[in-house]
Amino acid sequence: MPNKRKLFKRWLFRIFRKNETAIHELNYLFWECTWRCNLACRHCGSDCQASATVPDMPIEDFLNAIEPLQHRYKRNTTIVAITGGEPLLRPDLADCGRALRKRGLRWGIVTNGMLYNEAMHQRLTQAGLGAVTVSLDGLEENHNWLRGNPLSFKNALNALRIISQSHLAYDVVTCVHQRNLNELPQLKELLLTNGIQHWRLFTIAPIGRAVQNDELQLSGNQLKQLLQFIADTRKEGRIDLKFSCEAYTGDYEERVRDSYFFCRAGINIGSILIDGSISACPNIHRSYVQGNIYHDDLLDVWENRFEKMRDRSWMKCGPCAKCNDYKQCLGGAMHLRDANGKILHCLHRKTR
Amino acid sequence: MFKKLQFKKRQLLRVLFGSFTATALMFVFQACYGMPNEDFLLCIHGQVISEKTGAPIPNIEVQSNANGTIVRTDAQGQFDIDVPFQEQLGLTFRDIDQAANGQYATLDTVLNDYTGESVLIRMKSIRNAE
Repeated sequence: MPNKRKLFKRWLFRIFRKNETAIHELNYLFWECTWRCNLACRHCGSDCQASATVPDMPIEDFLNAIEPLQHRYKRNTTIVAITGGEPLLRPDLADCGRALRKRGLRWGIVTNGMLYNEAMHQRLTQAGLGAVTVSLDGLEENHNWLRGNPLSFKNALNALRIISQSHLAYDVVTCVHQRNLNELPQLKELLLTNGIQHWRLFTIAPIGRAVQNDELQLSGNQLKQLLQFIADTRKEGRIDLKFSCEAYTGDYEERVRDSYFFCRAGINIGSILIDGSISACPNIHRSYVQGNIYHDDLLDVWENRFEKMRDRSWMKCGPCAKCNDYKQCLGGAMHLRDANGKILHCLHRKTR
Repeated sequence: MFKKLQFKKRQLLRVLFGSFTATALMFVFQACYGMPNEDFLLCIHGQVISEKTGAPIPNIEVQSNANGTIVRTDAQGQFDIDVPFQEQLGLTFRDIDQAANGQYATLDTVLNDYTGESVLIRMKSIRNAE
């Protein structure tokens, strides 16, 4: 009986997903506002550099690009996720945020927390900041190893203490790899001790700098250990923990997240990259770029392109061609496809 | 025409999903590399002063009409209140200590498209109001 219920829920979800794909409302827009970064993380999937020669995108360019969206969507239905690089390196970040608020857009940042202190918190919340995600990749030694900076852990934890005591929606993200997998229980206690309640775990995709480091990839058994840890912790109920929506997890689907895996890249999620490129998510291979704000209309691109993201039948190739779970997974997340459409890795296959 | 009808049908289906299948979580999603998209609050910063004298008024109760949150102004008349993210934000200001800091008439106000700047609230003393 429970199995029938599960199958029914999954069937219902697939109808929902098909409907969402047809509607494809742009609800979540990334803005890669800078390529500058104050860290050089071993696993970074971005193409950013510590001293990027690429200039930050002027806020006016971004605002001009999103202008047509305001005629298409109701106010407050779109959230802008400001990312980088490290967005806190932009001295005009609060001004950018205020300009977005004035246009009825909600906004938040994804940060490493290095520069997030009380003064920064005041400045940004007074500009309407609503949500923050901070990276914390293990206990001190492992976090600093991955981030390549001895102060990184201390600063990130300090940022989280400030944020978790405020009104902001927030979560901590931890990239799990071979070195920090076994310390997740201790990290959980550390977060709870510091009043941090929302936690999200990732694996590291073999893209960007992570390609060069095998230690960052989990084996099948390690991946099972991770998913079981998430399932057990969720059952325990002391902290709001979830697995990121980065991949389909087979039998773990109902136990590791609040909802099913659904790669919404190009369906509800778009991005404007540092050079003006219009893409789905910033970490998707740049060969899937759909246009450029400097010579295309963002709304026109959103409404009429992105075919590869909205019809994923082309993903049914290679190992996906014979996979029984394809109809539920639809070929996995877009960022795990290379320029030729080949899947880089499949977590579901790893756990079998 | 057909396209429009199809779109309306899909929108209707979407509403039905939200209403009948308890799948609200499906609508509040988070991009895998992005920040949370739910429980989104705004913090309103402001100061309450006397309309007549311009002096800050401490101990005024500030209530959000949307979520019922209540805070009080500090000695400088300042307050911070967390409210749901809405275009129109209704706030009520009440004098709860009566004569202790002067008597002021209850004030209902609506902020449109709050952008994060500090707001200045001027309350009328009851004598002035009369």
